[in-house]
Amino acid sequence: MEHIRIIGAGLAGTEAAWQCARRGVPVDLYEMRPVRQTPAHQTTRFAELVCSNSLKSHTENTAPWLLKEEMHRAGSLLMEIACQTAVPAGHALAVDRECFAQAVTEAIEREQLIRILREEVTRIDEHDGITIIATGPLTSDALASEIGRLSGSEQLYFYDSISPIVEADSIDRQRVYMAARYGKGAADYINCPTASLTPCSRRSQSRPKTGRT
Amino acid sequence: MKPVGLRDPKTGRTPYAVVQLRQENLRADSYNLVGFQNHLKFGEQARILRLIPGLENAQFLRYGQIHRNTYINGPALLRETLQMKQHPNLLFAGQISGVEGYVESIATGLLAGIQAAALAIGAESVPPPRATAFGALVNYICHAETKSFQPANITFDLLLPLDETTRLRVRDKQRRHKMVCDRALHELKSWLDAQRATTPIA
Repeated sequence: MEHIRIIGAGLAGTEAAWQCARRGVPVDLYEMRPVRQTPAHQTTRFAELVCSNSLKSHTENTAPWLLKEEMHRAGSLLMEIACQTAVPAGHALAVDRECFAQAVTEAIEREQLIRILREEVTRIDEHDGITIIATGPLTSDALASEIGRLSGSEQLYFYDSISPIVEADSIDRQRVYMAARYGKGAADYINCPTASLTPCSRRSQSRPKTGRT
Repeated sequence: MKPVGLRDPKTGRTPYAVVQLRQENLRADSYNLVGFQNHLKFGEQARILRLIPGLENAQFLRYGQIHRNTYINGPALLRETLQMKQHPNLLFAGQISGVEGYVESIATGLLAGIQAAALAIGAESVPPPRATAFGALVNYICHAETKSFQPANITFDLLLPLDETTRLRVRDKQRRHKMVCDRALHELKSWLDAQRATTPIA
């Protein structure tokens, strides 16, 4: 049977490798560390958590809980290990990051159907066989270039930039009005009118309320 | 924030400037502040943005953030099986596919692994049901707006809403959330049973 190639032994890549191996499908799992490092990783372990150690809310019937519950039921290796390496964290599932990464690494290393290759992948042949690209937010430049080639470079981004989102119910509809974007199209946008801070404008506008819940 | 063409119907005047809010979802439960991507501390964002007329009592579902993050335009490139439309031998998983967060990364890894295994075995594999959290994530990275696509965590906004009748009948948000979760887990079971038949655990 052909090997599945999985590039990146982070959270996604290791879980993908496990799910393939469980189904009897052999895997070549590539991890560029330590041959090439990232600015964020401290170790060479698989599934290293580089930011917080929290896997978010564990309170029943929240959206993060639901996703974790679905993964438990689907037989996720990493969720099982997360529960085994959990540390007290109130309503969140948090893990001991070292134990977690160590346990994931060991489980993957022990699995006979997963061959581990510590090398940087710099080319992807799209005709070559099934490949899962799981190289994460800090994908190396060379591989990013390849992905750009395959996707179109305008479809590959290097920064995410997120605007704030507010609850509709918390907007004071008395102070705002609906209009189109740049005055074009349907009046689907909420518009918050602001005043200039120059003295004559300030006298003619009422000051905003400052009460808040 | 240019107020061009945005006369306030209440005053008949064009304001000095306008902050526009764009509807986040079909139900118009939430709005994003257009062009307000920023990386200020959350407390400061709340303080400053609540100075905007109309947002004095704003409740934030999410604050602005900017990160170094390599990711593809999922909606332009991916099928619901996480295969590339143009190159079906290639699948994407984890944050590079357009999800945000640890748990979301693991989830897409799980889904891609199952799909890849099915491809290798020559078995059929159906994407997870829309009503599941799995399905909600997949739906987002495949069907969100392609213009300025940004990664997202799992939230109830992404999950399939309850039908209109039920939403009018059940007013309590907690109860509605429970119903969404119960429905998701019910549909998950059917999907997992089908998966186990076509791509059995060795």
